Amino acid sequence: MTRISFFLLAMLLFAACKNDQAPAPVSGGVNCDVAKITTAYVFATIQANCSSRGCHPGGNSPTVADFSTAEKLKAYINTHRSVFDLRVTGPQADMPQSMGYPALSQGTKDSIACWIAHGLPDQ
Amino acid sequence: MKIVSTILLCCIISTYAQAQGLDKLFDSTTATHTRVRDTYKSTRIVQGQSTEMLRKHELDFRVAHRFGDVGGEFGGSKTFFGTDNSTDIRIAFEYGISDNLMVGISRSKGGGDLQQLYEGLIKYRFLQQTTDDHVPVSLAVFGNAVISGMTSSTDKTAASHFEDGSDRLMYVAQALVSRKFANRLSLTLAPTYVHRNHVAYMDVNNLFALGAAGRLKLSKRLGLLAEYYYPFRSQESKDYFKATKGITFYNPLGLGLEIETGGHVFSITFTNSTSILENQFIPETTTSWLQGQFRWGFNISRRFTLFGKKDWKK
Repeated sequence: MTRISFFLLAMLLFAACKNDQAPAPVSGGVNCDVAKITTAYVFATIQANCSSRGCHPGGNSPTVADFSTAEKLKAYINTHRSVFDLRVTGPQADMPQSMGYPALSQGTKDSIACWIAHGLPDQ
Repeated sequence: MKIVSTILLCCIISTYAQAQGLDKLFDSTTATHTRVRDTYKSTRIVQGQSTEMLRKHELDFRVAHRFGDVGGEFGGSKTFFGTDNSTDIRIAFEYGISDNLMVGISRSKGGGDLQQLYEGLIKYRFLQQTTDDHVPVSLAVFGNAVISGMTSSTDKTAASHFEDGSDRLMYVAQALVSRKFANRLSLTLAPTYVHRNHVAYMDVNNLFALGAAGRLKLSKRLGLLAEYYYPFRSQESKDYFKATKGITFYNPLGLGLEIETGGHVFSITFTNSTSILENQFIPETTTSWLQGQFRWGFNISRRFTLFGKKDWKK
């Protein structure tokens, strides 16, 4: 019985092998020269991917990165721009940290980066 | 790709060989040839496997932890040199079916593209070095299969976007050749093949790497460890990641201290890789020692003997 199980498992693993590669990214489709990304859009994105999941709620760890309001989000970016770029919009961004949550899409990261590049406009 | 599966199959087939007594063909020791013991204290060196095996009916409970960057942007005193963060955590149960065959299961956080990793592993030792050099080296093969349980990314260009279940699979096949010189120095070579079913654009599904590791014994219970892997990633792939994403791949280098305390083996490690499993730390190390992106961690091993001690006391 054990031998049969081993063989079946080996066959299953053998059959599951494949070489698959994701399609080439299309730079998120954001043209920052013409895109109008507003604070409301970015704050809604941060709420959906971060603060609605109990992260960066304010008054709790991490205390510095308080994203509970749009103004606090903007204040953080203004004072910690390089960290935000590195961890949220950069090529090695690691936010949101896993815990089963999917990474931000390239389009979302590009949109946020574009909003920052335009000076965090509300309109 | 099929090479990995073939080597895994070989590992499994050797199980039957052993069950039928055919492994006597590989038996490296007789009454006149004494086996070399304790080439390493543990079945792992720093990150990778050693040629050491569990004894028959031994259960090994292992915990491995890797903290955040010691220095650089995310390290320093604000994270107490990385201890506020964890890049990977692994909990495993491994079991010795015989003195030369072991299997195991584990769960890791995962420190690469894929996370929430479940692993099944098998390791078989064909040869064991003898003191009279009748057999000059120990030789083992290792294989694993890993599946990710994470939520599929909505970004179709990500390695973590899964069209079907097989996209979640990764494999490693590895040969391990070790020799213990005198009583103080042990060296290992580890040709390794990593296969990942689904990767990001311009990443490589199949990657060959050559590992080298060693231990310098400082005292009866203390050893200094070093381990290095050289992955043979194509220049085209390296250039693409550097140019489009700013990502540079680095070769994993680990240093450690191996401490034996009774039934425990405790290793303190320093590595530039963020992951623990070979499936990730060989192809996906993008952090550099020179930029302070190394981390400390530990491996704890606690062994239990099941079904009495009679078998391995022989």
